[in-house]
Amino acid sequence: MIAIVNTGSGNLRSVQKALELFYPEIKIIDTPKSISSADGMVLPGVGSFGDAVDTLNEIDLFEEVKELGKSIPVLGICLGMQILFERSEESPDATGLGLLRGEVLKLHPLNDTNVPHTGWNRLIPQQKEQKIENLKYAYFNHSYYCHPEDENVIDYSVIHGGKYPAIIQKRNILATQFHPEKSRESGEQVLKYFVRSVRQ
Amino acid sequence: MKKILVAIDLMNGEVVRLSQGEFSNKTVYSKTPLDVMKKFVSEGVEWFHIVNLDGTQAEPKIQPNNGTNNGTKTGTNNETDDDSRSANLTVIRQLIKYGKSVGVSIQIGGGVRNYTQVKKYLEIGVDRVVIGTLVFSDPTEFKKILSAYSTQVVVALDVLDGIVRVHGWTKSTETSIETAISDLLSLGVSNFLVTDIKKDGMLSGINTELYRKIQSLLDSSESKKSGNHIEIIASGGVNSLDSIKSALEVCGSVVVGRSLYEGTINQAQLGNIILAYNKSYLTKRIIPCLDVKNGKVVKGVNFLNLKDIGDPVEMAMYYNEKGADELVFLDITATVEGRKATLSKIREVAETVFIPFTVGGGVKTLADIQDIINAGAEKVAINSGAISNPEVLTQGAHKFGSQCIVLAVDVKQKGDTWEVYSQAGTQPTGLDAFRWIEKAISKGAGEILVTSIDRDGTKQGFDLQLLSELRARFKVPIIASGGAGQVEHFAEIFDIGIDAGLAASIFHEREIEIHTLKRLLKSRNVRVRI
Repeated sequence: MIAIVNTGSGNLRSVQKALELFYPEIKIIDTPKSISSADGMVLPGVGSFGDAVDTLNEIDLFEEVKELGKSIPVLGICLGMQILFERSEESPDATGLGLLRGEVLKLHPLNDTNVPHTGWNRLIPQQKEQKIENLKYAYFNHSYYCHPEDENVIDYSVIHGGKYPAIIQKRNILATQFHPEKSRESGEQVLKYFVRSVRQ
Repeated sequence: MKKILVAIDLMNGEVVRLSQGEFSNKTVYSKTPLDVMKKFVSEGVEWFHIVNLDGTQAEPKIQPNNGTNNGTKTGTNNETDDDSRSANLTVIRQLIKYGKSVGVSIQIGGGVRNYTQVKKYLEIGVDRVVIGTLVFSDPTEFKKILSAYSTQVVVALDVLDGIVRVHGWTKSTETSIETAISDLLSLGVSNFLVTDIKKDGMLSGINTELYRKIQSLLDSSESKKSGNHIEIIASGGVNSLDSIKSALEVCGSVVVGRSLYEGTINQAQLGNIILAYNKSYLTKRIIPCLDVKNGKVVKGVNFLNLKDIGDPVEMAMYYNEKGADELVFLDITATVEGRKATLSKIREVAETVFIPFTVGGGVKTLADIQDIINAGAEKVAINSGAISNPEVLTQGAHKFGSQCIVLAVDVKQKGDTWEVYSQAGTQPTGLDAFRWIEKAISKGAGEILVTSIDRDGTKQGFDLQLLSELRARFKVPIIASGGAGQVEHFAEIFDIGIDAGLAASIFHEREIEIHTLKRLLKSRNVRVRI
């Protein structure tokens, strides 16, 4: 079973539906009991860093997610990617899951670019051999970006006033700043890759 | 948009550099061209200029300019069994395949001798083909190519002391660069790669004077005046970041080669200068708009092959397939029951379509926003509801993030200003558009969908004055609506920095196919998702 963790704000259905194309059992989870049997975990993402972390704490899932996130495949999407980090400029008082080292910073409207970063942008491969291949354009919609301590975890970057991580991979963790469920072919590749890692 | 093209010169399957075009004066930079390309791609390089040097050495007969030898091109086909040449072709195919898979653009040249070759290159995914000698040796064949692929043709003009040379620079055409460009412009050529032979591969700085001369020639040309997009690509002599800058001051594009391979410009510097000139690789969005009433699409729909012409799910799927970047649904239902029907359709769309969409129409409260987001929409557009209660923007942004909250605003020009209208554009509000938008952004709106009531339905083009003033004032993404009638109208708004163009009837009635629109925009240097 792949668990979509209900972090409180909206739009879980399209993630669920997209994953159901490749995996039979996708559940939206909001209690500690129901998550323990998960083979993979998705942290979806709309809303603010602080709200998402608060919600996880309120429904008693923060520690569970943090613990499970050390072993089973995890897919963090947009804000779900950001809460994998230690902290965020968006909510300085909130503590992230810390499954990835680094912080989340605000996108500044540098170089005449607009914030939020909304729309389709090109994914720029950063490694000589990519674990997920053939990705071109993905749909972004965010005002904050991840700044990992270790640059080698960045699989793809995106350019918008600066160069930011678009896909991060570290061990069992896969995280995308864009929305795979809204990114047509590229999104499909990412979801398929994640499902393969769950099956293994 | 300024382009920095990275040159990959290939000979015998290796990355090489010739100094001043001399085949004897060759340096091998890499035996693994694909790795070279990957490294540049990771720095953000968007355009590659590949030269098949094994192609340039072929010695076709120079044909007389009277065209007596039309169509008998068998003798000049350079795809021979020669080992070196086939090594090159294998590598070229590899590079093109990779480039295509990661969405970078490629132009290729070197020994292009006929229409079939050009066609083949374009078919395997090359964006533009560079043609040199052929332009002079076989004008008939060249015209055939040009008439088929005009915007995808780049004419290479190699210049020595003001005179164009061909055949790997060995022969003079006795035509001045000015005459050559004027003639080619009148034939319909829009892209020129101008190389100063004396500077090429010499790392001695570019010949800015040459490019300035060409630029002033262009400025006074008929072609430019009639609004055609002309691109001059400077090449030869780039030796520093400064020379890239001075080239791009005069020209739209510059080719960088040897300085990268020799390390006079390092990778990080290249990454930074690309960033400085390109800022963002965000593509411009094309958005069809569907007016939905009681769960049905209502106006201006004229699909030829769809029986159930008004179903939002089918139309969403259709546009999803056809390359729309996003969809906007405006729910114009007045009743609660009708709204439920629309929401259930939205849910269905969200489950079928893998592109983002925005839903608007009658949104007044946080609960309305929540219903729409829960149904699976990416964003919510709020119009009259925000005018009567701006706090709804703040509540929505707080709950879902400002990137989810789109301010829809309908405006009408009033002297030098624009007035906001509410209730589907029927009620003047007395609000100044700029002041209202400013306030809405401060309340939490993360994007603006602005419709010019004056232009709506006219197909005369978007309100550029309004849009450029908005662009100058606000940093949030702007979606332009009202007035789209042809490809040029979209190009105009993108040129002034607008993020997205929205239209309804021209798409519904298939006056413009989205794929075609995007291809044409790309050839006009607009970044689009293709």
